[in-house]
Amino acid sequence: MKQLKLVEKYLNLKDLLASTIFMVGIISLNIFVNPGTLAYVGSIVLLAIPLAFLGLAETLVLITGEVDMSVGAGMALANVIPVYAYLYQGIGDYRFILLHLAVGLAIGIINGILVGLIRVNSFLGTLATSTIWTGLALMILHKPEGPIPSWYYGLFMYGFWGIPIVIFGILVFIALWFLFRLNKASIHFYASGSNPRAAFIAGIDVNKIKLLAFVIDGLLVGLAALFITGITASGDPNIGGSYTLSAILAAVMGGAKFTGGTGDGVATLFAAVGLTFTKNLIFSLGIPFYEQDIVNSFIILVLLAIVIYFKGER
Amino acid sequence: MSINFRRKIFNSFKVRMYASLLVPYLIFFILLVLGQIISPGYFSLDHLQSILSLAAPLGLMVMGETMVLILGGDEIDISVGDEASSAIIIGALLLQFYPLWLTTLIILFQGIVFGALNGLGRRYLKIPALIMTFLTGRLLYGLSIFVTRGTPSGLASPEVIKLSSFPMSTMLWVILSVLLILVLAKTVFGRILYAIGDNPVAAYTTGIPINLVSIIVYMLSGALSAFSGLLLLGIFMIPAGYGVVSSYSLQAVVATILGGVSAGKGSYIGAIGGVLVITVLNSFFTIFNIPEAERTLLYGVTLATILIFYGRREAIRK
Repeated sequence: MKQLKLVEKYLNLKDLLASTIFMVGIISLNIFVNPGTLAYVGSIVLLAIPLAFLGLAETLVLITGEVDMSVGAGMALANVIPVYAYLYQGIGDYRFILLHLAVGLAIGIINGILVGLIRVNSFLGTLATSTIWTGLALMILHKPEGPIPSWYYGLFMYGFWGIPIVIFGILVFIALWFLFRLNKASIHFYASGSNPRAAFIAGIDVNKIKLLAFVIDGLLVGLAALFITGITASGDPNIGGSYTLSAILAAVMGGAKFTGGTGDGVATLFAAVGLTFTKNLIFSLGIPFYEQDIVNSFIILVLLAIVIYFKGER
Repeated sequence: MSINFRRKIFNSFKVRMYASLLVPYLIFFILLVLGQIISPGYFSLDHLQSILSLAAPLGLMVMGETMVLILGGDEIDISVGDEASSAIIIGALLLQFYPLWLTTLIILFQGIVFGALNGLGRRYLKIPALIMTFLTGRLLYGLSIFVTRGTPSGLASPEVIKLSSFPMSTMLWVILSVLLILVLAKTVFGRILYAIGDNPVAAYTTGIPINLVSIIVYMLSGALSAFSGLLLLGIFMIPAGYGVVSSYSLQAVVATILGGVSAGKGSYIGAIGGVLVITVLNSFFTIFNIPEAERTLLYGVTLATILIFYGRREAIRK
């Protein structure tokens, strides 16, 4: 009994169960529609990794009761700057990887100062910064450009020390989440989100926690950009597109609420994988190109409605 | 004269209201003077006319946005630009087959339907407004691509061009503005909007049908912005690319917030100032030939700056 309680303390079993069912269900539906999918399950999961990291970033921010509308645009910026640096400045060694994370960190710090210290409404404030990131990304690269350093691309082709990069991504994700969750400080995150006033009276500097959440969020966006650079092998200023919304959807399906105080990383990972397979399903079903946008938005709307309905967030 | 007394004067509701009304107009005149210095002839009647005709579509979008933002909570409508863009594309298509009045009706209907979708999703599915209206925008984008198969076709008919040029569109805007200002200030509907924005719980307990009111507001916002798309079609002559026009969403939000509108506060008088400021800024971008990417960046910076002054949440210890 004691062990179960311990597990329940660190894993949100209900959300985990829901997102697992969603993921397994969608994957089996994929295989049912197109048995050939089995052969490339690994590469579809790899496609889900950037979304998963963005979802984790969104989860952390949602836990503290804020939201980040700039993760997609931020990822595009953190994807474009290193590729530009490689193509036009010749920076192609380990600094190529560091540059992704540095851009992410900068993004996080700016968002954090805006929302945490200046106390701007996070919905609108991050919408503003998302516009800024998009503008910057378009200024730096006007169109998708490549290639990226061949050793980095090789990592994604042949794996790291023979281990496929997907497994690496999943391990990093889970390690990061438990690093956060097993840390005493995570309690402060949850407390600031569920009742800021009570947290403030209990001696938690809520605004500083929000700043910290956005900084970590930025770093995770940088990590997501690392994966998107490897997957697409190019720098694309428009890659952000629908990622922000999908990331929020993944976080919400993973148990986060817009009112703050809840959220689970592992469940978010499963939700992100499920969402990527949903997109794949649209392809498999052979829906014509010009209808894909409308179908995709509609599916996101329906999924969001179902999730919010069952979580009883009213 | 104690500090306390001065603070009392500054905090008194009326003084702050007038100050917030004045700010956008002040910025507008500073920008006009700046424009005259940079490029002589900026202040001429001709150019002011063209600014007014360019401001009218944005003004219509801001009407809806004003009502939505007065409702407070986290209500916001960022689908206005998408409503307008899809109205441009679908309007140009319809004008090939139907007369103007029928096209207008169909487009208004489309705006109302998607506005209602916003309101329903917001109120009954409880999806946050920003995400719901963003999704509606994506749906409208999908719809436009679906209808036109990726390549917009058609032209603005002479009637549309006449409707969207100086005397007509400005007159239309002035009439609608006066109507909206009167509705907000003098009618029960207007008072209800402010009441909901000020204190939704109190409004609910006095028996105001909050859900119905906010759905109506979103429908009005949809209809107005769809109609503004028709005016934009007249200005652009051809169905312009989707991305160009959907940036109007952000401009409408910026203009409204700059106009001093927030939950339960503000009026369309201030928002008109915001519209004029944004239109003049746009014309500056055109004069200096600033490309799209830098424009996007500058809008973001403008919005962030405005938010730092207008959009802060209260400190916790209060």
